[in-house]
Amino acid sequence: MRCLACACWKKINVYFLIVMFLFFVPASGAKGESTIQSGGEVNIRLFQDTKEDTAYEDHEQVRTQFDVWTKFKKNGFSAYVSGRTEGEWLIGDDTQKDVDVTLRQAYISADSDRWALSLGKQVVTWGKLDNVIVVDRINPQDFRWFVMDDKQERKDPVWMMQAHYFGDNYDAELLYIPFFRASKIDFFGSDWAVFDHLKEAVEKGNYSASAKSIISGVRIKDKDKLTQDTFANGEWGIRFRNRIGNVDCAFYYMYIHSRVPVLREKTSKGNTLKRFLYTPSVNSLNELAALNPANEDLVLEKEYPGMNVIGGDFETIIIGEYGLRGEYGLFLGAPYLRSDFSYVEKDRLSFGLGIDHTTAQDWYYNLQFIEDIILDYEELFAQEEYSHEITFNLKKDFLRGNLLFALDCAYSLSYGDSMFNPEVRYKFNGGVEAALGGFIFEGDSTTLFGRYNAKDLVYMEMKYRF
Amino acid sequence: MIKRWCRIVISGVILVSSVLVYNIFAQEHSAKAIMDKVFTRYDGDDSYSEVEMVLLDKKGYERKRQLEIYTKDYGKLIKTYIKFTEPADIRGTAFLSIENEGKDNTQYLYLPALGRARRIVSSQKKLRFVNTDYTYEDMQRRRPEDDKHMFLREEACGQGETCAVIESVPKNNSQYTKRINWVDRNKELILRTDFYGRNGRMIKRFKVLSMKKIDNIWTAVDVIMEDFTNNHKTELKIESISYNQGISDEMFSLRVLEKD
Repeated sequence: MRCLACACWKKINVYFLIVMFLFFVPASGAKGESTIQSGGEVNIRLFQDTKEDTAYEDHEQVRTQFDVWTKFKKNGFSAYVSGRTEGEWLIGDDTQKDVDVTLRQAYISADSDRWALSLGKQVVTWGKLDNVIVVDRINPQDFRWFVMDDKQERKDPVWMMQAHYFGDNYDAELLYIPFFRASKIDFFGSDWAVFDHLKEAVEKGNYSASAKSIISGVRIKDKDKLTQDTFANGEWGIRFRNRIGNVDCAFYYMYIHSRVPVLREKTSKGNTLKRFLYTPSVNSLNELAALNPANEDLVLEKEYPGMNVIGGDFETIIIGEYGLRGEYGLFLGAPYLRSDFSYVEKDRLSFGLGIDHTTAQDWYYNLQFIEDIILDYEELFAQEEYSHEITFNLKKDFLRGNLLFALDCAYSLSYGDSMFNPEVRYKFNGGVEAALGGFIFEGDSTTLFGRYNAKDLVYMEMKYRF
Repeated sequence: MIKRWCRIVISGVILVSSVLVYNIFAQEHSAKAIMDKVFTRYDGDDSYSEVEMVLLDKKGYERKRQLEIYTKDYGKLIKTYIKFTEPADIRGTAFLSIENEGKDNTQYLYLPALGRARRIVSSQKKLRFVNTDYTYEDMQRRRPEDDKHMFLREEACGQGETCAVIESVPKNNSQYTKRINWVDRNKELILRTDFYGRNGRMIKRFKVLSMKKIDNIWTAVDVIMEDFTNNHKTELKIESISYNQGISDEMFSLRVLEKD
């Protein structure tokens, strides 16, 4: 068993000390033209699985998060630093799964009337869709909790240079990300891992010793090339924004790597291993065992193929009482899993349209439609040539914003899987908030949300902002 | 004899009508002139203010917010940037309003949770601005040419001042059917506005509680908007204001809105 203090101390690094230093120095009060602001947030969330489907599930979990940030501004110069400590505990297990102390954002900016430059670790948002990723792919995401966090919260800041030029009726933006960072994903050992508790289920299940030995030998490794901080792994993007008629439009080009890895087999037996991992069954396990795989056959390597993306966004086309916004992208060389579990790169056209409306009674809702079209289609493991998804978000606040009701839904018209996230939130005085909500997942086990069919949960959240 | 009387009556009617029409035209003209003066009054080339916002509900319960307001003139047009700095639950929320020649203002609201600015479309301008008693329509200056103005009367107002009371009826889309403005003609400031809704009832009142001459510019330093339907008030108290500081154009860009 590890104690929180020990784990924190072990992981504390120079960045965190910088954040804490900057956080406390302003309290002494800076005068003159410069301004310093600081703040933070403590967040405690308790998750309770609604049904005990298997013995390996994490039935009750607690997540804690402590964020601090500080910002310094003087004339056209500003600096921002934020840090985070987060922990995760399993109730009843008496063990703490993880504690991290990290530098979140740390950047400096210099502005003039025509130019602006930001250097450092930061978050950038491109695109006009809410909580959906079509072209908003500059930052990697933390998927270790699947979609429990909103898109903005999931974003992992990365080191980058961001330069702006402001023309009379347009602005141009250049991004350069020198070092590649992947999205954070667990493959085994958590409720939200790609392959769930599969290893544990086999190792503790009623299977042959050889099957258990094979599964315990499965390893998913980083491939060196992209995990090294070299400029050769750099990514970049350029965006132009202007107004056409009464509509704000942006056009962009990006060269980025897929943030979610493909699992590349080292030998041909690796595809049989992938068949078992993606469609686990006694048959697929027996099929793998029959190959008598060696250690090398049980290694899958994470690869992040590069993609050229040409895209854009717009906001807002007025249609009567409604506002229409959207984003689109042509992804050249996006990776897909074939039905034989090998990988192939295909071009994909994706677009999303969103409609926002607020009724006279102040009910806000938005409806988004997302379409993916795979060009030069061939039969794939889980993707159809055309796939369509809708998302729906409903919000209503009462008591002048102190009580908030929200419903987030996503439904795939193509694959039939869905997610529902109702939530009630109350804001107390002094920055304290309490929320009660739930996640319901439905669908087939090979679909995005259906994969978590047995992971429906309710949650409570306490937040204190300062 | 009858013909003569008819001629006299018709001439009289024409004369009286002409006088009335002239009088109405003159009143409209003078009312419009007053509103033009208010609209074009010099209030600095730019300004930066720190403001306390107090939300008061019907039970007298108060919620306070701090905000910073930047404005800058671009000829006849103004750009406004508002940033909420306190308390923590609204910190980071920001608003950008850009006046357009002959068109509705372009307004954006940045919510930190979304991570991007959202454009406020015209159908949303009747909605409350971040749970205050101001709507997005109230957050933009009303151009005199957008209303038909009628001079109603002169009346004592403020602290021993005389106000012109002017009725302004929108010519185009508005959530209000009319506004009645109390204009201090000397200071060229609106000291009070009563807002009327679709049912003809007064639904809101804006009032200047206190004003000061700062850098030779008359400035409303304490104003209140009262919503009679919800029995709720929003008071804005300027804690500090500085004019003509040379605020950069970049302050009024989407980049600053999304990153500041």
